[in-house]
Amino acid sequence: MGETLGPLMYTPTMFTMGLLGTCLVAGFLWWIVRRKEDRIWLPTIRILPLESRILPKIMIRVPPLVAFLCFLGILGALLFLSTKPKSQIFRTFDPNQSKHLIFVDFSPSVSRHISLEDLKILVKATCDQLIGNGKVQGATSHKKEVYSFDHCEDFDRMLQTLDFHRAGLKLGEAIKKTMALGVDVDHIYIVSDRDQHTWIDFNWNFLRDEAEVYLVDTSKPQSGGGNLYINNAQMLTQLQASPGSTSSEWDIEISRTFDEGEYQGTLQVVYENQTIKEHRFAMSPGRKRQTYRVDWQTTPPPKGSLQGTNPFVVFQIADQQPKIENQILLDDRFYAYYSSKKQNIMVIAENSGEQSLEDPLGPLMASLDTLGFTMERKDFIDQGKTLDTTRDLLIIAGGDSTQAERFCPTTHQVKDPSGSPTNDETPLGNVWLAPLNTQIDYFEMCRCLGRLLPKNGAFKVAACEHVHTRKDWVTLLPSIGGKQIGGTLGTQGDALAYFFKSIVAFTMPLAPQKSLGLSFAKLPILVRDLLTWQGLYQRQTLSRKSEWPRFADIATDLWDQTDIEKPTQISNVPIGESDLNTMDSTDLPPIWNPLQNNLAKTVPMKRDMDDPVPWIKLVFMLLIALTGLELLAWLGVKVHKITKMRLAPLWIGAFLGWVHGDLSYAKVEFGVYGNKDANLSIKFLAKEVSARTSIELTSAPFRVLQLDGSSLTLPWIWISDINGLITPDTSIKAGGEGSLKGSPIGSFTNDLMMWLRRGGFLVLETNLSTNQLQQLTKNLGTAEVTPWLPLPPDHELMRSFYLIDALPDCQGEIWRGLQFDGRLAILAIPYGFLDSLKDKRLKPNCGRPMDQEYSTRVFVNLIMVALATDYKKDQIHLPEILKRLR
Amino acid sequence: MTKGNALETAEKKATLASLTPDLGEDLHSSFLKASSKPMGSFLNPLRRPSRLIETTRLYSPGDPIQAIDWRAFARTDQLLIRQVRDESTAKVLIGIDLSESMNWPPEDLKQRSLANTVPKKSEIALRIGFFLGSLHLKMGDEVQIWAVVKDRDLSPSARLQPKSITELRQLFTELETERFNGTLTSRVFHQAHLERTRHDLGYWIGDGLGDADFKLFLGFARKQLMLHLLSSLEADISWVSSQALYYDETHIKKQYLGHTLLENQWYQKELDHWREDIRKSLNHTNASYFLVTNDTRIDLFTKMIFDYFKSLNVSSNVGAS
Repeated sequence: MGETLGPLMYTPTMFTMGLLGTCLVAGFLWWIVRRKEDRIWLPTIRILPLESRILPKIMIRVPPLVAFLCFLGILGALLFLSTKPKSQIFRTFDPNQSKHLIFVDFSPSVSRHISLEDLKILVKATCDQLIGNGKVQGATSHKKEVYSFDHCEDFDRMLQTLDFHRAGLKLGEAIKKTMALGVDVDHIYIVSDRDQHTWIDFNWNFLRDEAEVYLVDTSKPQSGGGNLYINNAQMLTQLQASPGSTSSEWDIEISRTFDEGEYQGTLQVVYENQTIKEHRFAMSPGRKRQTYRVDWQTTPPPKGSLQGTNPFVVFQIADQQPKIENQILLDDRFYAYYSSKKQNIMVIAENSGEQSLEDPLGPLMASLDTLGFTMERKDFIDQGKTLDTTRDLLIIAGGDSTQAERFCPTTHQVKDPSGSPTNDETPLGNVWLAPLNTQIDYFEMCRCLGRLLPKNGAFKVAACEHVHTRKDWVTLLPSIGGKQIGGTLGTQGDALAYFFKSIVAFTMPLAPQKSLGLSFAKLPILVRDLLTWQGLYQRQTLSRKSEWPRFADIATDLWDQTDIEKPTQISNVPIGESDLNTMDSTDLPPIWNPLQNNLAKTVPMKRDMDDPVPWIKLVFMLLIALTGLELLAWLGVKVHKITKMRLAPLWIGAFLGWVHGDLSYAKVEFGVYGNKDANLSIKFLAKEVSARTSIELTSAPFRVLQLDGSSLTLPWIWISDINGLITPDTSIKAGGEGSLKGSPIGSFTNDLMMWLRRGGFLVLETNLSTNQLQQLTKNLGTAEVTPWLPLPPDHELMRSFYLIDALPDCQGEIWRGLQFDGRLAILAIPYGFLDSLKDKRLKPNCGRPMDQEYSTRVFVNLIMVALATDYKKDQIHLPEILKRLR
Repeated sequence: MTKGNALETAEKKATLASLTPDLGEDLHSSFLKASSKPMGSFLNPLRRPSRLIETTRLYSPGDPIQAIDWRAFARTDQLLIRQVRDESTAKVLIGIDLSESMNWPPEDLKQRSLANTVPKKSEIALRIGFFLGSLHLKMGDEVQIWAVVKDRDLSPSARLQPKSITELRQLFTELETERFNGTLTSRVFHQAHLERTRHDLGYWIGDGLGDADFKLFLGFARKQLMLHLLSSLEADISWVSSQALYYDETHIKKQYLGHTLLENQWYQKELDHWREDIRKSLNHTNASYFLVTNDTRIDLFTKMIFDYFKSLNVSSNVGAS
């Protein structure tokens, strides 16, 4: 099955060839490297210090070839097993490329939802819809076979010959075996119900690597009804059955899945196609399972035989009351071996008590009963009568002060069917001769053995004269040709028994006894092992329990069988199928509904879980990061070597500077108070200023929120609202005189004076008259303060950068200045000069628009004055200025 | 150009690889010896003061007081020492390191074309040793040549005590014929135990890489000269290919790739450091140090030996006894 890798197809075969090729190339490279190896003894290497001064080098050593090739192989295998295409690239639609497989489940559990005809119609509809999309193949749960056809009618015709098959199908094994036939498919449609027994152990997600799996659901929601079935049938053993009963007694367990009400019915026993017994049963309310005892007179009397086929009996339920929709009919029948043909054992032993515990042979008989034997018990032998030879085993336990003739038969008692003495060497068949207890005199045992063994053998009864104890007995037995059973070989005292053809002579009683090391638990096992060794016990044929096969998975148990005529082909329905449990729909594949012609995906196809690409990416990223780190370390060491630590402080300083440093720059910033624009920005102005001069201006002035002593740290403050400067109760606007805050000589006035003295530059945007201004600043009045004056035409503001002939007035109001300490300290501009320069320009309230270029030039001059005051009075440039002025 | 000049030029170009004891004849120069008597080369300045003085010099602290010319002191108020140059038979110790590391370059390296002309260090050491021995025998000295023949020996355990120049030259001819074979060398030298007796002159010829303690050996002599002998392939590793692996597994298992050795002249720097360390450590014992290789020219080598002798005579001080 090919995999899609991007636009490429690769197959495991191709991969293997690629891997081989890679290995060859690797081997060739290895050879080259090996050839290049050049190892030269240089004694002066001794004087070289270890790698303390030089970075360790990556040394290319030639790896061992085999290990290297193994490494390459494992690497390739890992790559192959772990990588998968991230996204499948679907090929262009080609009817012959899509390969569909319809798998039809003919389990009995399907039959409870859909009739055979409807099932076939559903399959036909599915097939019809798929046949146009590509190649369709079919398979059923009957056997391991895939049908290829060109027309759905062919498949349908084949299906018409099929019926529901036996119970017990598990899809996992069935699909696996079907796929193992070499089917090349990319879509699998499973026509089945949601039966838990069918779906359990089927990991269909695993198939998604090869094909999409869909469920064509046959199940219908069930309304009432349920399943009634025979769960088990078990024949009672001889000891379990009623004493003296000659009939077959069975315990039949009937179960149901539906509501617990009174329920009645007839249980029929069918033997050789004849109903031999009918038993009315009634399930009590509230019971889900109940056991009924059924017995019938054994007719015909079963014959004990190990040969031939094993007859079976069939139990079936009929005539239910009340009538319910019994959803699986197959499990109303139950097959069981009719093991009335059981093995017979004759036990000859004197019974020493009524209670089983008092009977020394009680545990032995219980063991035999458990194993499924029937037993006939005699206290002694009627010497005159002919022995019945139909039994399989004769167990003789004697020696307890009884003469051998009383408990021991002779070979003469065995007659042919014709009545003449038999010539059989072992006419008595299998015989176990055991002492009844440990206290017996072995003399009679010895005589009994003499009667059992052929007369012409090595054993003479006269030898029994001296046999009285167990020690004598175990000495005698090997001497007359007995073969040891049990114990250490050659150690006579350990021997459990000695074996003469068909006769087993025990050296100890067959009863649990501590001194013999034979416990109640060991005895049945010992007996079973002995019987198995003698060929008298076969587990399958003799067990009374119903071990009729229940094929939980016919795909596992029967698909590969060739002998389909074997009677074991009839099977009971597995309990898992009878109890009608269904799978949760989240555990099922997406459901395909051919009749509605759409695909109902109930389960999202999650492919991101097994996508290795993110992990591969992560690994590569880690690899790159580690390489980068190593490179950095290498660079660091190189730098260290070059600078030899002498320049280390410099490097550290440079590094710290790089981390913490900032570009040093100087920008002119002034504070603005009272401007109504909250986001005052003068970016364009700053750009103009920096383009025209060498001065960098901040793109937004610093906003002064309150005028007080602490705000007078900025060297240049632009006050748009004069009210911030004066005491609130002294209005100026109303023609009042107004006075500075803190006047006459308060804190603020004092601070302002000090600030001006330090070089502060104040710009007021106000249209106050000269007198008002004078009044405002009167408290500053010291010798250094000159009166407010209009700026004369030869003022430095007119020529500090641009040569200006006049300053823009506003409705007749002109610019005034207050000289302080021989320089312009306070400038009063009669209108909103800053508003006319900012990014979002406002028309000044003067009624006429200002010339932008003009205003900018004035601002440049202003900034020059603010920074350099009257530097041109140095008169260095005077000749040039005069020349220009002319 | 005369024939003699041509020979002279060829001799100038000759290296230590062709040094023989015979060349020592030309060293018997008058300025090395005070007299023409073949009594020895070692100057004995400790004669009692006599009227037959040769030179006088100012007293320097440490000089024996009995050597002071008190009469002259009475005349001149200056402490003067009278010196008489005389010569006596010197006891000369020559140590040759023939241990494993001297057996280099090995045959497999010699098979490479780059090293097929370079003789082993042991051969050069023997040549120098026999040359020096011949030189001193000719000047009338007693010469013992000791050799370290076992790898782990700290001091030499084999000795050659030539009675005459002829014997020495004969042995050398044998060695040269056998291409300085190791087995022959062990026949020429005989097992002996080096005793702690004073000698006048001591030479050590070795590469300093083995276990032999040359400082201990040189300590047996008053005047010491270390001739540090390296192969020209060791002194200059420009022949090293950068991808090959170079190793020495004798003591510490070390190996380096060629480009590691060549990088930043690491090898060369370490070699220089090492030589400097040896030289400094020898200075503590007043020993002299010279580096020689198989590429050292004979004329330069003999000049070096001349200069060494001269320095011995000039600086021979009174207190040396």
